[in-house]
Amino acid sequence: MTPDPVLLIVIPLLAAFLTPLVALGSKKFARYVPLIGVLAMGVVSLLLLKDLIEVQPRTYGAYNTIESTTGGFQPPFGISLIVTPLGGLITFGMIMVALYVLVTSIQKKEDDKGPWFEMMAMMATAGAVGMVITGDLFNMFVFLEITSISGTILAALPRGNGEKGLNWKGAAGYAVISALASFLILAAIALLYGATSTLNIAQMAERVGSIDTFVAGTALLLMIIGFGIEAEIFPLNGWAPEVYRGSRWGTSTIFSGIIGKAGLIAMLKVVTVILAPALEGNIAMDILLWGGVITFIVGEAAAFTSKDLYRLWGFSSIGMFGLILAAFSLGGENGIYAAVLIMIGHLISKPVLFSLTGAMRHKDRDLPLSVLDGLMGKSRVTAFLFIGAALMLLGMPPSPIFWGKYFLFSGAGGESNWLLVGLLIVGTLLEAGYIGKLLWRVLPKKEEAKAFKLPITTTVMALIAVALGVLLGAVPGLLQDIIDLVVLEFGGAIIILAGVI
Amino acid sequence: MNGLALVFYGGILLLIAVGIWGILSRRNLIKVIMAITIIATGVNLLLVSVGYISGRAAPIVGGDTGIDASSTTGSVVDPIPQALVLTAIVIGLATTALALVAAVGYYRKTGSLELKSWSYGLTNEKEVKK
Amino acid sequence: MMERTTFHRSLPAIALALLFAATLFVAFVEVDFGEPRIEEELPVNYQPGEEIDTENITTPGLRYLANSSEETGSANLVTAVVVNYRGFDTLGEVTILFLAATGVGALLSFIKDDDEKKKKKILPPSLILNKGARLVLPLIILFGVYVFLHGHLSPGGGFQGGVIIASGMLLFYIAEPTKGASHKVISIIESTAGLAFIGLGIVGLMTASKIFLANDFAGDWGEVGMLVSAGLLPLIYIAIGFKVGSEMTGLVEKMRGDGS
Repeated sequence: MTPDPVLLIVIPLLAAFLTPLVALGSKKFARYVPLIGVLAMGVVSLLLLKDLIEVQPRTYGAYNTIESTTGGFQPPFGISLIVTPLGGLITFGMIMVALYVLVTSIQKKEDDKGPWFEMMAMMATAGAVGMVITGDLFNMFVFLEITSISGTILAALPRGNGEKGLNWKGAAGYAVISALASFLILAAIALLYGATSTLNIAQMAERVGSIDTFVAGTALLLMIIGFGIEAEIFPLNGWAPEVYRGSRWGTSTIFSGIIGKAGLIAMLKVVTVILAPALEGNIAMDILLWGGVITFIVGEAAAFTSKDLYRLWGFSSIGMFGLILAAFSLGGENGIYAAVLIMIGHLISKPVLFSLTGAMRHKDRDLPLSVLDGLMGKSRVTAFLFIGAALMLLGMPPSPIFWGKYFLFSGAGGESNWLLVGLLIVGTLLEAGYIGKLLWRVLPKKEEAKAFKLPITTTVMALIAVALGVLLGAVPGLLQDIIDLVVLEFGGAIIILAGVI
Repeated sequence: MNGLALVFYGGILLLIAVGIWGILSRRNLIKVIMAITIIATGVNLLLVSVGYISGRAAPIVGGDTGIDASSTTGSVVDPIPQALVLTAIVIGLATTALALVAAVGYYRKTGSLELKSWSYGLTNEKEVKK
Repeated sequence: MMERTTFHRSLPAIALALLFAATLFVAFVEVDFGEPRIEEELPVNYQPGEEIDTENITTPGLRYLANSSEETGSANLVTAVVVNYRGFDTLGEVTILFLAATGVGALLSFIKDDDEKKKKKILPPSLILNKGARLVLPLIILFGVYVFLHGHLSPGGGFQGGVIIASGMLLFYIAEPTKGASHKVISIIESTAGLAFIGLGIVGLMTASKIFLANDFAGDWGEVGMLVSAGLLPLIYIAIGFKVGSEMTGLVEKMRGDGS
């Protein structure tokens, strides 16, 4: 049975409205309401994903989607939700990241004031899911706002006792810049509505061919700036390090795994479906490609020079967003394979790194790299999980990112784009540099080190995640079906993954 | 291009320009938030004017409006942008409220409303000064 | 401290802002101002009131104009779009307001911890304000209720009505700085109204069309233009009215700062 995709939105909204009511009775129990909501979302999205893979027509150029309408009118008259293969996969991945964060942080005593962290984490996920699956441009804006408002609140919730107020700095910056982003997007929506008289993305794509190039170009500019801010693309990401530095690890995970990814996918959706066809040649995709590559280099370089562990992971996430964007915009089978595999690897490894970093943190202090010194001596489990996730992020086999980079290099090399290949090598070397630097601190044992105990939920969840990453890295053929569908969605042909490997 | 378009679009975009200038040149959080609300107002006005059709009535039928349900087509303006603006106004309000609270929190902790040390640089690791 | 910005230092910002606005201006001028762009699909020489074949219309705005009264039973077409055709957006919008109100309360509770000790002195309001507010408050609330009850008939609706009610409460807070509505009551109204909105949406999943937020009773009750008409639409607007009213009141209450 296929569930109605609208449940992916209705369930978290119900849970969100229920949470304050339950909190009036028991604050402790209220924190489980969002967890249950996210679990239910996970079940729905898993069923949707299963359906997408099983019911697919295996013919060239066709792929299955699951659609749903709201308000009782067929699109374009009512708002529709469309779960495409990429949307289904990303939705599932984002919900799993949210589940990881909620399960791992449910025991923390940080918040005796109420279940706000859990509730906002769930709503950020719901908004991100909505952005990915909606078929209506203005509805996408509404979901973007749900995400950025819950993101602002998440960023403002203090870590520990919030002594230095770094959380407020990050939150104020994000509140301002994300508001600017959304009004630029709204201006672009006004322009596109004026030019095409519709808001339905599919219908707009049909009509956009006849509009003026300058109008399409301006809309493209506004959309790239707006979604680029959410997706942390250079040079629009000045706010991001402050948020990563000042907030809790859960917030950082949600920004890097959910909010940024949703911004990225929404940008791709708007640019590839609506705007690229309206412009001549390949200009839209070229902007995204080089924007992505530059973001990758700058992000990894900044991570390399970073002295605070949270900021380091934040910059490394920015670099990964750039890499994923570049891979998608490179296009072709290789590009799409690379993008999806890198995204999966990032979704698996980053929550682990953030949660281990969070477990090591001191109260409201910046986290200098020296906290890692002699981790092997303090806690063997933590050190192994840390090393595993860090190497997975770098792309040491068996890791999905290894295969992702393999396809990316073959794609770039296949088009003889040697500048791109060179830049990608530079970025990867920088990445190897800082991860090596971290491992250099982790590995040596120190006698005087105090033993450090990882909370049991973190251990279990991190173990599951690392094991999953290793499994997918060792047997990437498991992902064949769904990635092929994504390639079809982007209009390419299928490579047999198992055959290549 | 008619004169009305010049007045409407020109005026609205000047308003937006004021907001953008405010964001770019001010570092005081309250002023930046004011600039954001100016941009929000401008964008809302843009949305409404996109739906305007000259000489048409408001999209309400019956009562004293003189428009009955069968003759709406061709006699009233496009209702969609008006509905969108309603949503956008509420969203703008929510954003402003949260930004203000973040500003209050920032002020209480640091005693300052300046976003001066808000880094676009890459290696700004300095502390926020108390 | 005064913020001193010399003119030449803000020149680049001014130039960038004007360039941005000029780009947008050129783009928007391409979108003809005041032209009936949504009516391109109508036959030439169309006169208002003529029959049209709505089957062939693909532009949403035009079809809403042609079919709205029939499909939604609402006399106010903007309400029809807000609550019915684009009801999903409105659900999101209500959620945004809810998140903001909840978030403001949650974040202020972290700020308040620090200045618990500094109790501020409150100046008592003048007699005229105090007594006058008591006189006007019931009327303001009545007007707010009128506006959201008639959302499907006249300009206004749940959002406007809710904001009117909250403005009345703001007046009350100015007149009675020490009193306030209970956080608990506000929170209960807020959540219940939100659940009612989703519940009314789920009614659509249960009834004929099996679609979330569908208004399957549009033509069943009353005529277009009557108070009791438009199916679930006024009910949704009543829920929104309560929700917006309580949320805005909550926002004002929380931002008042001295807690209660």
